[in-house]
Amino acid sequence: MTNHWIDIRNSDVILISGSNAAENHPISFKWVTKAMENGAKLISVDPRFTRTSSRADIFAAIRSGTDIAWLGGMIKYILDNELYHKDYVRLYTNAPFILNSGFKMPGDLDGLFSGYDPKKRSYDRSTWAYAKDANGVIRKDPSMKDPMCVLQLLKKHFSRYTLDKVSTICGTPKDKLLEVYKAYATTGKADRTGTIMYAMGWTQHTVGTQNIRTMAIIQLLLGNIGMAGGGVNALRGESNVQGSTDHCLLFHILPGYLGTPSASLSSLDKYLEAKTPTTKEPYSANWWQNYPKYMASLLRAHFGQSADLATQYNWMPKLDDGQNASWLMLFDEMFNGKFTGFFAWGQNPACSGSNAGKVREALKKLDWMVNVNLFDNETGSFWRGPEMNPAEIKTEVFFLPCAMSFEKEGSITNSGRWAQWRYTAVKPPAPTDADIINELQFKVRKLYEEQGGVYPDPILNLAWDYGAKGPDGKVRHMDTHLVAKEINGYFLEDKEIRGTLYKKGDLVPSFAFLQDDGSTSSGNWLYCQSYNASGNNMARRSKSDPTGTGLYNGWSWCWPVNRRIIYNRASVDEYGKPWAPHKPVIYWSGKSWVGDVPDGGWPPLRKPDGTWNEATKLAYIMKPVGVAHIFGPGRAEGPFPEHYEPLECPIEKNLMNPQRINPVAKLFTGKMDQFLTCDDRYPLVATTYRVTEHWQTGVLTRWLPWQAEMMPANFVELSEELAKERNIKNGEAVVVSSVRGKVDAIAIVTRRFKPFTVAGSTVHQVGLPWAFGWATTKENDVKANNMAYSHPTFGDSSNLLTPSIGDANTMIPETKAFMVNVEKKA
Amino acid sequence: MSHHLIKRLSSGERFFHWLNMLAFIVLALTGLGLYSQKFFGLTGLFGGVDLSRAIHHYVGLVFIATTFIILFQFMRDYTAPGEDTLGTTIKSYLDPDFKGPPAGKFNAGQKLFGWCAFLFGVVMGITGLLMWFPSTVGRGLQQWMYFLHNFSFIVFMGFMMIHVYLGTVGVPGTWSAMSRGTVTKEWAKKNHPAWEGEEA
Amino acid sequence: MAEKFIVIDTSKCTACRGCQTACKQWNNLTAVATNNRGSYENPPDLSSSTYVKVLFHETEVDGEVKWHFGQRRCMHCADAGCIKACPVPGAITRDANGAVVINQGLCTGCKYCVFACPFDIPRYDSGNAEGAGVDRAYKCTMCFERQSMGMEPACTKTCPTGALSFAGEAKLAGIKAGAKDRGLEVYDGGPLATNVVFLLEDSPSAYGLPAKPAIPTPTYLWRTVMKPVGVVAFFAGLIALIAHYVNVGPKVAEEETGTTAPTGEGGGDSDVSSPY
Repeated sequence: MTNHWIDIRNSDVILISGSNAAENHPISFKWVTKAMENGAKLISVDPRFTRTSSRADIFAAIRSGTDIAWLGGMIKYILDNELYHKDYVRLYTNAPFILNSGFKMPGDLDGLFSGYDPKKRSYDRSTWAYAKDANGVIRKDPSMKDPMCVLQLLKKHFSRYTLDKVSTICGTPKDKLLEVYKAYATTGKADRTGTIMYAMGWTQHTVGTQNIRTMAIIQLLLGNIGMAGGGVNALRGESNVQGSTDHCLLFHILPGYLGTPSASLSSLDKYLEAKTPTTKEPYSANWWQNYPKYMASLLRAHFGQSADLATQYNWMPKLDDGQNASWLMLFDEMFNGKFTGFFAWGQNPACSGSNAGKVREALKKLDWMVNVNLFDNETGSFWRGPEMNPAEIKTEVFFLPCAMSFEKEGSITNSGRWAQWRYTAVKPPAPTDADIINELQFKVRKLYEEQGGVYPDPILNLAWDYGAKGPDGKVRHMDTHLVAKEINGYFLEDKEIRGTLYKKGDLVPSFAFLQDDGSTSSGNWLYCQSYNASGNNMARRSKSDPTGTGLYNGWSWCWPVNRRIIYNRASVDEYGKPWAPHKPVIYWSGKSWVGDVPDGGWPPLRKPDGTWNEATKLAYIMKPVGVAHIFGPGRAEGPFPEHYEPLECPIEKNLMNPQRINPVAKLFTGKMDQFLTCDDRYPLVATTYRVTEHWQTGVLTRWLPWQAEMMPANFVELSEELAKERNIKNGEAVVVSSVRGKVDAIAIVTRRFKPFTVAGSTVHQVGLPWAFGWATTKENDVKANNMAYSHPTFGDSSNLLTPSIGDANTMIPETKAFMVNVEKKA
Repeated sequence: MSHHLIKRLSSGERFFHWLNMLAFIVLALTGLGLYSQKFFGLTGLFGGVDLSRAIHHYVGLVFIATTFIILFQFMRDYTAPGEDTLGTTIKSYLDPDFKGPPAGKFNAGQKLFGWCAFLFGVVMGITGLLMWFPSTVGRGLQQWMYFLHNFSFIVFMGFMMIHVYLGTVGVPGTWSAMSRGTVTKEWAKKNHPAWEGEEA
Repeated sequence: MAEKFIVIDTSKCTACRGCQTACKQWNNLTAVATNNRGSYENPPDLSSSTYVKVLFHETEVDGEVKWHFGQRRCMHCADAGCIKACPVPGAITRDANGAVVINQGLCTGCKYCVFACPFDIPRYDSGNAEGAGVDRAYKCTMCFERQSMGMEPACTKTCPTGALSFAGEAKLAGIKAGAKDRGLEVYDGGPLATNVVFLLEDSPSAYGLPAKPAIPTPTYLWRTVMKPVGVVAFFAGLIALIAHYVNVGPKVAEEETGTTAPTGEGGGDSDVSSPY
């Protein structure tokens, strides 16, 4: 989230799409409700009428996988009717920037941007570039009338997204689309704000990243970013997803979103040169110029002062150039026998992985698996699951029971970037002092010490100062506070900064104090300030709200530097006056900023007399160009979003352009990566979702009687019209199948799904949750398998149906749009 | 003082009447304990409310059974033709000098009582069973069961008060029919002349 | 103590069922074995293990789908049918806060309350089947024990959206006034004066509530009319019989001994005479 949960209450219009927030983020509705009490309008756009839709003022149904189309139509509506916030767009976005003449768009190029290589299925992005003057400064047209300026190109690109075309692609009536556009575009007024609450319904597509990009463009056009009640707000699917992403959950980033080293970046210098952005834009703060400080401090946190920084960089694990080690790739490689060992740590891929049948097959190829979880699950016991013959499976599985987050002290970082310290709520059922990672680290290090090994240095030099060590050198008890302090960072030697002397061993006050010479450490520069001389800031619990806008900046701590709304310097005009004076995020007092922690303390763009302030910096400090990207050249599919159909879709051709699917999406071609589109056997569009009552694959909740009682069975929701066609009665058991697999479900025949009219023909859509799995069904022999649940559930994982294809940028699987069939269970 | 005695009730008839009577007394006392919180103290007589309720249930079964048995035993008498009417019977109780048509073994009032005792006994039995096992008739009907049980009890109780009065102090000489099975000739002649004539 | 109210604002409910679960947790109620019956709703009914149940009701008006979320739970009537029906002193009481509570220690499992409730709420459990019960009637207690410790009920405490709130009389008056401004119907049981108050977006029937809640007629006749009538009738009958005995006297048969005893006042020498 650019903003935070409480801030939703400041919105004038709330758009919930690609999310069923009422269902999956129930607490968020505390703030949605507050906003609505203050007169806010709630818009729900979803294939299905959901619990969220039940509260909405406007509900519009769209076919799964057509978000860019309907959002593109909104961009056209905003531009055609000049409803965008012109000053904001001019000051804070790249809309006035002029592009190179070589840049071509899909309208002129059969659905492709310039530079496409069909063999590699990727783009040469060199034409996606700005025109520059002799000094290398980007050419701009503040009037935004130049035909090659970003705004005009945007207008041209989305002029193709007419109401008729959008309606026929999405299957949404035109009047509904207009109603949504009209309501949301009202937030283009300077003092009105709209927010978007989205989740996996937008991201889990082959065009997931571009879905978000489209909305980001809308938010920039309407001047909603940096504002109270605005922003682009991803609702995370788990309470600490934000925290784990911040701390390098993903293969391509290190803690603090520093890039993972790759083989060709063979030295620290090369790495820093490649990663540290430069700019010729005169007033750009270009915050990432501090990259070397953050990387140096990270190396020190990992390896202490064991060697110089260059050597420590060499110890870092590196990807092969171009290597993708995302989820789909990992399981593809596992399936192909490329590696033999696997830690399933707090996860259940046999149910959560897209194309779960392939995942289950891949697990057979392993020599060993360690399953770390609260209960045994479909992953750890995959070898005795349905259609498995244990006698033929060699994989040795070790189960390590672990403590739940509520059973341990530590921090979680919520969607609003708040790092909140939590104490142990309950003790784990079995008393244990052992911390699995500590035990593992000690054993591995010992083996390297005793046996040498290929490259022992990174392991032997790993800093592991998390508590008092016993005579064997093992940390007796992991001290969570020491971990938190290491993440914040220390001074490693006495250092005088801006006239203050910091002693060796002092905690670093904030990331502005981090050094590139190895004299500071920080496990994650973004979290520098979370635990410093004023104590554990994450544990703060002040309920005061001095600004009255719900910042509560003395409650917990949020990154970066406790800034509650990021990009907040875009919430004011050139003179530092808030666009929305009744809900200011910050304002310029004449000497300094008041309110939230600003994106840098530089003065506003202009002095009170109207002259340019040479001391100023542009608002979007993380962008080398200093302004936000309406034109986004960093994305794999192109700098503007374009509608492509999902991999599996119900229509023969894309109605927007000749490319049916995302031209740069990675296609898997193995024998278990089957896809069928426009096939009579699988004529129904399907999507998956979660339910309030279960969490993720139900790996924790299916074992809880109260949860299983409320949601005891996998179900498929389908329209009354489809049910009649198929002679399916409400409550009846059915089989849902795709080319990849099938799953049992109970039919919920509902008015909340309606047939779509797409390109003149009727398209039915169905949806099903993915919260179930075979381990808690009646069919599983509980006693023999030593899996004690009290209330059986019905049906296996719906991910047996979903395809193994991912977004071209993130490789997030496309589980939200695929094709199935539904039949009565024989 | 010897009287010429006439057999009025067989030992079988007396046995079931006694059983029915005792059941009724128990039911009335236990029932009253549940009828109103004012009479709740009565449940103490039977070892508390749970036991009281259980006794009410099972004695109720005895009551229903004996009610049917009694009907079969007296069916012929209840349906026997008689010259007397309900009006003449009531008059005979209210006016000592009234000479109406002669009554048979049972006068018209007794026949009416017999039928009513059966009818309301059965209603109480059915409603009582449904109160005991309430899930069978639906909520709307079930609610009427409680009312009917109570209503029947009140009507039944009214008949019973008259019955007991006339069977004891109201018509001296009647009680021996219950206690010994016999009545005096004079009693019979006075109260049931037609029957007395047949028996003589 | 002043009266307290549970207010359920249906316009804010998202059917997350936090209340349903919080109730089970606080009251330590077991889960029922369930199936999906073509709906999100579960368990199928209130029981000794379920005091609050969220209802899902789909309708369609002019092509626009509506999904209403109601609740089945004790309404805590000021004029409570269950209390009227209960034969056991103290087994169902209404406390100063307005909580109508079945005292499990006194309840005898007679089921009178089960059928006397205008909202069909109390559930009898014989204790034979799965569930928490042992031959008693069960329903929501409005968490009277939490209230006695100064805490609000578990359900209102849990509700994330403010759909459920716990209010005193003054706050309730404000909520009611505000609800009317927002076009919501205030449903407070009418003559029953319930301490659970719904704010409805649609007709009561869309939320599984009776349009005109009242104590059932047979229950009213039974507990309110018949009870005094019975007592009066009993004593009236007794007096009538005594009057008969005194004024008309027993009907004494003539003696066989020949002397004709006068009928009427006489008969004092009969061996089966009056007790005098």
